[in-house]
Amino acid sequence: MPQLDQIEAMPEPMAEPLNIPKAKSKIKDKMLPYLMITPAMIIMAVFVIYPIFYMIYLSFFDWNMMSEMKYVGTRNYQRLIEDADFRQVIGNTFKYVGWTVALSVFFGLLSALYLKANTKINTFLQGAMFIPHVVSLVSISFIWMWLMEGQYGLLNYLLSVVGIDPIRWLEDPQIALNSIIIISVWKSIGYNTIIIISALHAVPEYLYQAASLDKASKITTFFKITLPMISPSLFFLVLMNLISAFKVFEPINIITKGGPMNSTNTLVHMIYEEGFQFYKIGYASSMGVVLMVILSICTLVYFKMLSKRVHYR
Amino acid sequence: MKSLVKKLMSTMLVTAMGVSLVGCGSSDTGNSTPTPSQSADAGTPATSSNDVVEIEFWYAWTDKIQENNINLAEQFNATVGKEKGIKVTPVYQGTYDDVHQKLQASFIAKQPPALSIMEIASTKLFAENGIIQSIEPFIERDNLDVDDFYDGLVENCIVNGEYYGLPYLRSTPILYVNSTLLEEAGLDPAGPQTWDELAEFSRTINSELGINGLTMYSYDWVFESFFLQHGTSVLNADETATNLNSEEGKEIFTFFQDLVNDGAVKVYAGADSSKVMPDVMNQNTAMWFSSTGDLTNNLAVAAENGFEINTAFIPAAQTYGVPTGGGNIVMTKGLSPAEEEAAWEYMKWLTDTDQTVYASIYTGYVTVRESAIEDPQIQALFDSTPQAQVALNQLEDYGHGRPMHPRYAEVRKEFVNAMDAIWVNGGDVNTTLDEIAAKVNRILTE
Amino acid sequence: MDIAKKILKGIFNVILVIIFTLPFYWMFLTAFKTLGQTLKIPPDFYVLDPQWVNFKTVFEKVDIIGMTKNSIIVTGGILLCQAITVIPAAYAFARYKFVGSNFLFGLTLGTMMIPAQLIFLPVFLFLSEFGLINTYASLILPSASSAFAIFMLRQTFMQIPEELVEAARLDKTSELQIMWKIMLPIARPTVMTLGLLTFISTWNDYFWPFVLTTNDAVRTLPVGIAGLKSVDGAALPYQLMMAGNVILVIPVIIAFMLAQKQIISAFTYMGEK
Repeated sequence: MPQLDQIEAMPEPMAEPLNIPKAKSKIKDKMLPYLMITPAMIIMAVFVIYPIFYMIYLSFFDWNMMSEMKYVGTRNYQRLIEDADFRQVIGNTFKYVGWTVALSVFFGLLSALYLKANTKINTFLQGAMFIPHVVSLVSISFIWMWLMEGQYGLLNYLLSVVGIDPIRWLEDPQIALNSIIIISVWKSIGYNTIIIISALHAVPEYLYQAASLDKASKITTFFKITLPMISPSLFFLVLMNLISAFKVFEPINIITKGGPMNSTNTLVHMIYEEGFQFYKIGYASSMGVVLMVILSICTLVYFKMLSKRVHYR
Repeated sequence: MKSLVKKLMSTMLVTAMGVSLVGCGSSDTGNSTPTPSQSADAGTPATSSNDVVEIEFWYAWTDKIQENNINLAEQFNATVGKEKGIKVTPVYQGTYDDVHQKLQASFIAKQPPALSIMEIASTKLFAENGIIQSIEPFIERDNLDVDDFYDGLVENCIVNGEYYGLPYLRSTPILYVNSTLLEEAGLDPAGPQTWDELAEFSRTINSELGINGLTMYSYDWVFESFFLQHGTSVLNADETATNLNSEEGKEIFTFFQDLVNDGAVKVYAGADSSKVMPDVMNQNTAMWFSSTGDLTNNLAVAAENGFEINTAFIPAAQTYGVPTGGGNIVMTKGLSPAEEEAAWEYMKWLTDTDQTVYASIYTGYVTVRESAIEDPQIQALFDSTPQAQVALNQLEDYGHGRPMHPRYAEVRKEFVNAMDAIWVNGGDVNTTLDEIAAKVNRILTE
Repeated sequence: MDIAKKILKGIFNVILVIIFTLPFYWMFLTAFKTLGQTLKIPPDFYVLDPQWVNFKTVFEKVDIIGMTKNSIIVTGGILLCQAITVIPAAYAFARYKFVGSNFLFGLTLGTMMIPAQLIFLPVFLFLSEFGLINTYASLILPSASSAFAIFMLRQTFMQIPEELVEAARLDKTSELQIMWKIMLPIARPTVMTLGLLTFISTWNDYFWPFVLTTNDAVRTLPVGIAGLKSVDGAALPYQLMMAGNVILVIPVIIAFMLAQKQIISAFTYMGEK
C-alpha cells in the first residue's frame, strides 16, 4: 500500500517545487502565489489560528458571556487540578480513547486478515461492515440507545433468550462507558478493515514466496513479514483513530449526556457542558487548552515514531 | 519527514509565543458588554411606520404552547396593540435552555429581543448580569395588582427586592395515580396523603400486583419538594450551602432507598422524564410524579390503555409543599423608551386574568392569578376535569419558589448524581451525601 | 476437513453480517411499529401492519423539507467554498517556492490536527459578536477551507510531470489557465474524491450545526432528527426516532449501494496520505 510510503518517498515538503522561469519576473508574478493561497489562509487564520489564541486568552478569565470579563491569571488551571470531576473526565477520556483505538484497530486487523482474499462474498462483507462509517453519528447513536434500552431493548431481550440476566448498558456507571466504547468500535471497524486490507495487498508477493521457501510457519510469516510491512498503515490508523476518539461528542451528548454520575463524560462533552450549559467560558477554555496539548503530544509522538522508522529502514 | 516534524514544532513554537504575548496584554481588551445606548440602536427593530412599535417575544416549546403564544400575540395585535400602536412578533427558540443560550448570543451580538420567556430558576443569573431589567418602576407607576399573583409564583420573579419578570406559563409537580390499579390492590383510589401512606401503598401494590408501586427518575424538581415537605429546602435561605446532608436529607434518601431495596419503588437514572412513561403505559407502575402541564397527555395515555387516573398532592412528610416551575416573561435591558413601553404593555396584558385563563385552558399550565378561579370557563373546567383543580389547590396553599443561585444548573446536576448514586446504584447514604454536599457548597460559594 | 472449514467460515460470515446489519434492520422495523409495539416484551421481529403514519408525524414534528434544504445549502456552500480556497492554494504550494511558503504550508499541516470540537467555543463567541449565529454563513465559513484537501491535492499536483507545464508555457498560456486547463483535469479523480469525502462528512455533521444554531431556521437534517428525542414528560417515541432515522439514513445507504466501490476507494484514498 502506497500511503505512508508515499509520504516518506515524498520530497521534503517544498524542498524542490518546480519554479517558474524568472524571464519576466514582474511583481505581479511574485504576487501570484500569495494571491492564490490568500482565501485558504484567511479562512485558516480566522477559523483555526485566531480561535486557538482566543481560547488561550479566554482561559485566563472568569466570564459567563454576560458578565464583565475578570482576569484571574492561572486560577482556572489551578482549579482544573483540584477538580475531581475533571480528573474523572480525563480518566474516562483516556479509558475511552485507549480501548476504542486498541479494539477497533485489533478487530480491524483480524477482519482484514479474514476478508483479504478478493472474492465476491468478501466484497459484500466489507461493504456491510463499512456502512456504519458513512452513516451519521446521530443515527448510530439513536439506533444503539434503542438497542441498549434497559427494559425494551433488543440486546437485553436476546440475552434473556440465551438465559443471561439483563445488562444495564446505559444506566450502570460501571458499564455505561464500555457501552459507548462498543458503539464506537462497531462504527470504526469497517473503515480500519478496508485500510488494512489495502495495506495487505501492497505487501510484495515475493516476500511471501521467500517465506514459504524457507518453510516459515503462518504465524512466523505474519510477525516477520506481514506485520512489519503494514505497520506504517497501522501507525497511521492509530493516529486517525486517536484524534477521532479524543473528539467524541455525539454519542455522549445524544445517549447519556455524560451520565450516569459523570461516568461517560469525556473532555469535549465536558467543555460543551461547562461552556454552554453552565456558562463558564474561561474554565471551559482552560479545558480546551489541555485537550489541545494532549492532541499535540499525540501528533508529535506519532511523527517521532514515524521518523525513527524511516531511519531504521 | 524530518522537516515535517520541524514544521509542526515551529507551529507549536509560534503558538507558544503567541500565548505569552496574549498573556501580557490581556487586561486591556475583553469587555464586550455593550452600553445601553449601543444596544438600543442595534436592538429590536422599532418604529417602522406610522408610529407602530414592533417588538419580538421569544418563547420556548412547540405544540399547544406554541399555538397559545401565537394566538395570544395575534389577539393582542388586533386589540390593545392596534389601539396603542404596538406589534408583537412571537419567535420560537426551542427549549428553555435554547432560549437562554440564544438570549446570551443575541446580547453579545447586540440584537436582543424586547421580551422573552425565561425558566424561573434562571431569573437571578440574567438579572444580575444586566440582560433583563427591573420592571419595578412600571409596576409602581401603573399600580399593577401583583398581590393577585399566587405567592409561590412570585418568588422567582423577584431579585434583590425588585420584580424582574411576571409569572406566565407556570406549573407544579403533582402525584398521578392509576386508580384502577389502586382499587385492584384494595387501596384508596384517591392516592396516598402522607409519606407513610406512600410507603405503605408502594409496598402493597408491589406485593399484591407484582409491579412497581411508584416509578420515578432522578428528578431534581420533585426532589426539591421532598425537602419542602420536611420543612426545609435543598439550599439554605441565603443560598450559601445545601441541606443535602442534613438530617432531613438523609431521611429522604434512606426512605426511598429502603423502598427501592424492597422493590416497591423503581428509580431510573438521569434527569430523563421519558423513562417513566413506558411503565405507566404498560401499567407496570401505579404511581408517578409529573408536572401539572402533563395532565392532558396523561389522561390520553390512560384512556388509550384502559385505566383511570387521579391526581393528588405530592404526599406530606411533616407538611405538604412543592416548588413551582415553568417560565416567566421578562424584559431585556437597553431598549428605547418606546420599546420599553410597548414591551411593558404586552407583559401586563399577557399576565392579566383573561389571558391566563386562556393560556391555562389551552396548555394545562396553572392560572397565575387568584382572581382567575372565579372565571366561568375555569369553573367549567374544574367540573369536567376535577384532576385539574388539584394543582391549583396545592399551589395556593403549599407553593414555593425554586432556588435562584446563578450556578444552580450545576447544583442540580449534583443532586441528580446523588439520586443516581444512592437510589439507582445503592450507594451509601452518609458518605455519598457528605461528599456531594461538599461539592455543592463549593459551587455555591466559589 | 475442508467442508468443516467451509461451514465454519459460513457461520462466521453470517455472524458478521448479523452484527453489522441487524441494528439497521431493527431501525427499519421499529420505524413501522406503534409506540405500544415498541414497548412489548418479547418484541416482534416483523410488522404486519406497517405504521406509515410515523413518517407523517415526523414530517409534522420536524421541518424535514426545510432542513433538507438547509443541509443542501450548507453542503453545497461548503463544497463551493472549498473549491475556491483549496484548488489555488494546493496549486501554489505545489508549483511555487515563495518567501514563507514552507512556514505557511507547515502551519496548514498543523491545523489538520485541530478538530472542530476543540475550538467551537471561541468560534461560537466571535460569530455571535458579528451577529452571524443562525445564518448559513456561520455554518459554511468555518469549513470553507480544508487543510487536508490542500495537502492531498498538492500531492497530486506535484506528481504531474513538469514537461506538460513547460509545453504550455511555450504557448504563452497564463498561469491561471495552466492550472485550470491542464493541471485540474489531470487531478480530477483526486478532486472528485475529496468532494465526495467533504460531502459525506458535511451531510452527516451534527456537531457544528448543533453548536452554532439556536433555532430551526438554518438547522440541518441531523440536528432536526436528533431533536425528535426532546420530549418532556412522555415516553421516548422510539418509533418516531427510528422513522426520522430512516429518513436520514436511506439516502446515504442508497448512495453507498450505488457507488460502494467509489466511496470505499475514496475513504481508502484518504487513508493513503
